Amino acid sequence: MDCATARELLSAFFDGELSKPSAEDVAQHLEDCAECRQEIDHYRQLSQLAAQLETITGPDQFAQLQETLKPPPVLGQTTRTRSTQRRWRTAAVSAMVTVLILSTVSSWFWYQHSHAMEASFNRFLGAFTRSPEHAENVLSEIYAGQPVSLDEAEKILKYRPAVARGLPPGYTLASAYVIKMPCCVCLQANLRGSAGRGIAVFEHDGHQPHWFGNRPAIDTVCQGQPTRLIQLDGSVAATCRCGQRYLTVIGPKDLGEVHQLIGFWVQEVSPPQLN
Amino acid sequence: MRAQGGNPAAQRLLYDVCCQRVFRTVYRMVGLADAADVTQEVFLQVFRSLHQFSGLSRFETWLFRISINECMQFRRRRHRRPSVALEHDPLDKHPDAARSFDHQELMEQALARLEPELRTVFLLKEVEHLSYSQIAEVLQIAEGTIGSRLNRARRQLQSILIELGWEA
Repeated sequence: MDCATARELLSAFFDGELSKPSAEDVAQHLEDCAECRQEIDHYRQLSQLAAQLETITGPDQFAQLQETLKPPPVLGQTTRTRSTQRRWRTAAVSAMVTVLILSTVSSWFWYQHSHAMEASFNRFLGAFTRSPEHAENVLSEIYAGQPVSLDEAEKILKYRPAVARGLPPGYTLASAYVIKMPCCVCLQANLRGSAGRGIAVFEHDGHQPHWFGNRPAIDTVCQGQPTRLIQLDGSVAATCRCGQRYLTVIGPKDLGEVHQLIGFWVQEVSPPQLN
Repeated sequence: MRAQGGNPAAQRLLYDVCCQRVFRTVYRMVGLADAADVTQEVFLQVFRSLHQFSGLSRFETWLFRISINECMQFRRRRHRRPSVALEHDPLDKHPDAARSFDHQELMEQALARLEPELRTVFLLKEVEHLSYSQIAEVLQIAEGTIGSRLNRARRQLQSILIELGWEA
């Protein structure tokens, strides 16, 4: 791919909106082109600045709004029967509107919340596919996460994280962040496996399926725990309950590695120590 | 339908959930001085035309379409007035002064100088986290043009920030 074509696709690449083949072409071009890499880096910095923008609060003008919306009084309909009918009709319509608005608002709220999380994880997973090491702080930058030691994480989270109780043989801890995301507060621990390969482990409250959007997933059982496996580009993710919380592991190369990682924390750590 | 004169509790809930999100977009499109008035106009439109809304998944784009349209109409009306209000106070261009701004303020200043069409697409993507297909629906333009608009928005914004003293 030539530079001009790649430059035209940089925003779509950065935002995770390209098809897989196009994204791979751009990623390939980025490996050879310092100028385009710098451009992507600037996009990332702009994104961080945008994330830091102050949440501005507007005045509550609902009362004035209601006044403006009040219908003008209707003349010439004064009998009790008509008035009563109108009240019943108004009540019925109001009830319907209430149900419509409440369901709309709750659906919208849920949709917005899960969509924002999916967009953030798309960015993280895209970066992780290219380079797990460079993806380590992507979510932390979006949500102003805090780099921590595992002891500090325990103080902030008010529980001892699973990774603080031990790591599977052959894995070392590279970094850890406590991240307050809209869905939950979680610990992201970045591990290095054999040959320095990166693995990201999230410990979080609640099941968070919207992190992975519509990626292919299957539900299975790992070490006796119901586990969801999600297919990523060149690796897999797995999420399962571990004590009172959930563990999501991103980056295992195959099911054997999922079994090794999940199995370690579920079988060797969770039963005697987790809540 | 009588949504505009309907159940006040339901309207209140809708207003509470959406108001600040609409306000922050409007604020960055028309400036602080007029943001409250334009936000009020947006909600009048929303409640008066709630019956036209169909499809739960598109409420967000429908709401932003009304907000952006109202902002653009307001900007056109204001443009016809003899005097034009500044959206933000002018910034001292001296590099040392610029450095003393914190990044939030610098970004607000840069956004205020960005072309409105580019500012819209940048805000919808980076602040409201809409997908390209949703942005296309809000702006009623082809989805294929969103990427190139964002390219222009990001490059222009970067140039403005550098002009204001930002060190990338």
